[in-house]
This record gives sequence, structure tokens and C-alpha cells, in this order.
Amino acid sequence: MKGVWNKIARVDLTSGNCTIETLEEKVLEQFIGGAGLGAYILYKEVPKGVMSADPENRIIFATGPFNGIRQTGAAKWSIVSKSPSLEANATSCITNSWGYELKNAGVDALVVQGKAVQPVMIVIDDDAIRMEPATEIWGKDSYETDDLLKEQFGKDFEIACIGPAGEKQLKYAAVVTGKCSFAGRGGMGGVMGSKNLKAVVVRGSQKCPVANPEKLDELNKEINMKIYNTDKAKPANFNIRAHGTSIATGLFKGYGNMPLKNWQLGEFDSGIENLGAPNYGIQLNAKPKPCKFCTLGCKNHAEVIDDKYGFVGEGPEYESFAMMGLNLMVDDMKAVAYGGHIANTYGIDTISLGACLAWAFESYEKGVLTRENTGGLVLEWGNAEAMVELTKKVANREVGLGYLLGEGVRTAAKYYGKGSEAWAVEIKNMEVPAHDPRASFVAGLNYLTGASCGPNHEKGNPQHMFVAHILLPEFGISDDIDFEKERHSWEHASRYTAAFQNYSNLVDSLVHCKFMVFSGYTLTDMLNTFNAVTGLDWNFETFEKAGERIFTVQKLLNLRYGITVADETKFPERLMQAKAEGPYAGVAPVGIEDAVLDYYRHRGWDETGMPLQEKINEMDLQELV
Amino acid sequence: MKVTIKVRGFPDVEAALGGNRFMLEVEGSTFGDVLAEMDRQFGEDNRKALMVQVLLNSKYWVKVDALSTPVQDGNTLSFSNMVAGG
Repeated sequence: MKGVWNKIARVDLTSGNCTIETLEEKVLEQFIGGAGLGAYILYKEVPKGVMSADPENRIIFATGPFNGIRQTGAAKWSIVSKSPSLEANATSCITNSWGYELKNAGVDALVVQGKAVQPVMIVIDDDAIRMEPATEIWGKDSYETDDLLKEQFGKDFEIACIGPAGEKQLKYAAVVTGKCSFAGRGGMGGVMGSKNLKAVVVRGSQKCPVANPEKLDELNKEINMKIYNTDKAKPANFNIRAHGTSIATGLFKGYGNMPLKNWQLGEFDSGIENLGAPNYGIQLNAKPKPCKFCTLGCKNHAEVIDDKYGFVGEGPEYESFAMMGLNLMVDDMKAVAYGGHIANTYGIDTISLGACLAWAFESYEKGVLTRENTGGLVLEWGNAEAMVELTKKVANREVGLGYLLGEGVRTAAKYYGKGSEAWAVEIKNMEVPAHDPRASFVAGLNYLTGASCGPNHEKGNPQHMFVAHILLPEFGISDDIDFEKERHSWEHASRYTAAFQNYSNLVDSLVHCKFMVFSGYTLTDMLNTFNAVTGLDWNFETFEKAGERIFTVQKLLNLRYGITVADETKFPERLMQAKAEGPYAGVAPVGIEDAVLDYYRHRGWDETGMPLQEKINEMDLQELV
Repeated sequence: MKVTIKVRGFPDVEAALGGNRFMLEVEGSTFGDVLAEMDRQFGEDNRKALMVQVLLNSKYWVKVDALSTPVQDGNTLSFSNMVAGG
């Protein structure tokens, strides 16, 4: 298999050993790279009983065969570890140029284990790997850290680091790279913090050979132009380059897909207008800031001139402004972006943060929290200033409410009690993201059954069939169905959910960007590229099977680490309450528990979620399992 | 030939077209012929707005500039605007 090195770098922070190891060729032929390689390594090396903060936990920074191929979307890479919130395996994807440099350094992944006695950074300069002290930058935020390390090592190095939130092991702390991309979900930043690992600094100069470079060049030219032209041709306010993911608000409005007032409401006109295109770009002075090789350009650089909420940095994505803005009834775009900026610099997942803030606002409304708890903050719905100030308390891990919110909404609700668990919207101790299962039932099924990273929308995204018009005809998901009937039906939900989860694992293992599909990137493009890079000549069946194989290992890891069918059938009370107004008012995903069991059957698992031997054999996992 | 046209994710154009699913009678046998008929009936601007992602018979992607792609009587062409946030 070409396009990979079959090598991993390993750093043991306890002993200080830095080594390069060879992988057997069949490993990447089975698990591809990225999320798949991470799952394989966790399966081999992290047994039951190891907690996320234990030195024995591994954190794996993994590239795949697509890193370095100069195709739009091929800048992404994956981080895999045991998550502090789930206390189970998680995959978090991130982009910019760090993965490209790691691949050019001659390895497919970096595996970090152990714990340093004092803060350190890992430096990888082509084949040379070493540890260096990081005590002087411990405490610096993620943007300062990036600036300082680029000054120290050179601008051609890329930095993956944590901010103070990761250092203090906030449960949903993020890893940050390039001051613009964040591995938020799963709390990977806290794993780095638990190891006293502040940053990984990397530069590489080697190019990994591919099987068919001429074919790859031809595909890249065609695909890169197609992605650019397709986005350009989109209707006004739907161009992602012009508006970032604020295009989602206008689309999701009609489907009732967004979290409003801690998932209580179906309408919020001023919020939807202000936190959407074109207001987003105007208010934030947003300019496209594409990742390496990207011709789509969804990310943007914001420069906000404002006395209270001025900042320069990455503009918020849909999930961030939905969870920290719409979900709190805050309709001030600058304030929401500023709150997100604080989260970015401290290194915090904005999805979990927004969910915790919304819980706090509702708890204040219902008298569970008082001004004594909030340090005087008035947590009234729509209070932008309170949202920003409470974000600071969480980011600084202030004793009391700030600290507890940083432990996650389940912990905060359990501590403050008084029935507040009823509006703590989480599954498996991870907060639910900004796609409403009442808008499409498959969203809920994906949240409950997701084995890659808990209730993570984009580890699957089956709701995109219904709210974003995504189709995967190569995997049998097409428009020859009655969408209005299927969106609130369980009949085929297992098939849709499983197909999207398999697809998601492929993308996270190659590693590629799921946004390319919004601009015309197809599974056909993906498979053709894969075959040109690797020389493996797969078809769609082998391709999907690889995604399913990786999901099967992720599920086995879930089971090993204690996730049970009880966890996967415990649906948040709030999301089982139908909304009173707006699109799909009156609808709730009744029957979701039975749908999970039906999903298990569809997957070839028993009633506890354990893959049957027949499935293990079908997935060619007999040797591993 | 008679071709079914499906449209998803273009609210303004769907309103101009009078719906998101309809039958089109076309002289000819190619994708280009279908587009020409859509121009004639709905106006070039409306048709051009749909040229984002096109699927033939819910199975095969059609490149938007591949005008000579064969289309047969009874086929379906789906025009989808795939959009989302993350």
C-alpha cells in the first residue's frame, strides 16, 4: 500500500524515550490511518481500567494516506485517545497544516504515552524527535503559545498545543493548531494536560510516494476546480467561502434543526437572522482563510472592532454560535464570536461549553442557581454579557460554578440537583451538539450509538440526509425515498445511520474533510483518489467495509471501557419533549430505545451491542480481537 | 422523452419552478437537451442556479459540464443543493 510510511513515532514522556517503529503493512491495509489507526493502537495498547488521565493512556496524532496529496480537503488529521468526559475512546478531527508536516516528517502517526514530571513539548524535525522543557510557556493561551513557538523554532514549524483549559484538565478541553483549528470534542486537550504535554512542534521535508502520481494529479486538478466552482455557483447566502458555516442557519431554520433556549423553542427570529448569512460576515468582518490546499474555504478570519467584544482570530462555526448563541437566546453576533474567541484561546470545545452555559441559564431561571452561585452574574436568557463572563469563569476554572461547569453538564446538574438533571442535555457524559433529533430521528440514533466519539454529530451526520440534502448513492443512500416520511420514521433509520457512520470513519481515517461533500465531492471521487494514492484497487464494497471495520473496533473499545446498552438507550429528557411551535412542532423521537436495538441487529451485534463472531469474521478482525 | 426532475435545497428556484418535482417533455437524448428545455420553460437564470450537484436515476453523478451525458425516457435527474454547518 502506497501513500503511507508504515511507521509511527512513539514518545514515552515518563522515560523520555523517543523512537520510530515500523508497522506491519497489513495494519494500514485494514485500518487505513487516522481514526482507524488510532482505534487499532488503542485496542492493542490501552486495556480496561486505564483512565483518561493515567500515564498508560495513549494520545495518538494520526495522519492518513490523503495527507500531503495536494487535494482540497486533505489537510485534516485525527487525534484518538481515551476521552476524559466519556472515559471511553474518542476521535477528534482537526485541520490546518500540522498533519501535513507530520506526514512529511516520515511517520503516519505520533503515539504519546506516560507522563512528564514537568511541562514539556515534543519537537519533531524530520527524523529527529526530542522532548524539550515547556515550563516557560505553561499557562500561556493557545494563540500566544503558537506565536512563541513559531518565533522559537521557525515559521515553517507547525504547532499543536493546549491552552490553560487543557493544562487544568477541563473535561472538554481542546487541542489547538495554527490559532484556527480545534480538536474540541472528546476533551483531548485534557489528556495532553494530564501528561504535562504542552505542545507538539513539527516540521518535515519528505514526500510520501503514491502509487499513481499522474492519475492523482489529474484527479486533483478536476476535483479542486469542481469544489471551487460548485460553491461559487450556489445561491446567494449559501456560498461557504463568502459566509462560512453561517449558511447553515438559513437552511436549518425551515427544518427546526437548531438548539434554541436549551432546546426548548422552535422559533427565534432575531437570533436566526443575526447569527446567519450575511450578517455573520458583515458583523465579524470575516475573510476566508482556507486550510492547506483547500479550494472551498469554509474557515474564516474575523477582525471585530468593538469596545466590548473586539478581537482578531478565527470566526465561529455553526456549532459554536448555535450552542453559545442561539441556545442561550443571545442574538448579538459580536458577543457570541467573542465568547467563542475566549474558548479558542483557552482551548475549549464550544459545543460542550454552550450546552453547559445553557443548562446554567435555565437553572438560574428555575431558581436552582442564584446570584450567589453565579458570582453576581444575571444568567437571563439573551444576556450576552453574562454569557461572556460565565465563559471566562469556566475557562479559568474558577472555584464553584465555573469549575463544575468545566466538569460537564452531568456533573454540574448532579451537584446542584433540584431536578436540573432534566435539562442537562448529554449522552454518555458528553454534551449533545447542535442538530435536533426532533428534526430528524437519525440524529438521535447517531448520538446514542456513535462509537467513534460519543454523541458527535459529525461522526456520522445522518441528519444531513434530511436537513442538508447530502446523498451517498454509492453507499445506497439516495433521493429515491420519501424524505418527509423517513425523517420521522424508524423503519430504515438503522441503515441510514450505519451507512453514514461507516462513511464518516473512512473520511476520518484517510483523513479528509467532510465539508467537501457540500460542494460536489463524491464517494466516487474519494475512492478514485484512494486507489490512485494507495494502488489498492478497492471498490465501494471494500471501501465501506473498511469504514465498518473501524467502527466495529471502536465499538469493541466502547464495550471494553464500559459503555453499555443502558448508556446507549438513555436519551436526554429534554429532547424527548416535543416543541410547541416551529417546524415539526409536536414531534418527538418516541421509540428511540427500540430503534437502538434494531440498529444493533442491523449491525450484526447481539442485544448488548457486542459484535457477533460472524461480524468479527466478516470484518476480518479475527486476528486482532 | 419524458424525464422526471427533482429539486432539493433551492427554495427560491423551487418557488419559480412551481414545485420540487415535475415531469419534463424533452426533444433529444442528452443532459444538454434537458437543460435547454429547462431554460426554455423556466428561464436560464433559474436553471443555472440549480447547476450544483446533479444525480441521474438517484445513482450516478453527472458532471455539470458533461452535456453529452445520455439521458433516456423515464430517467430522473435530481438537482441538489448540499449545504450544512459544522
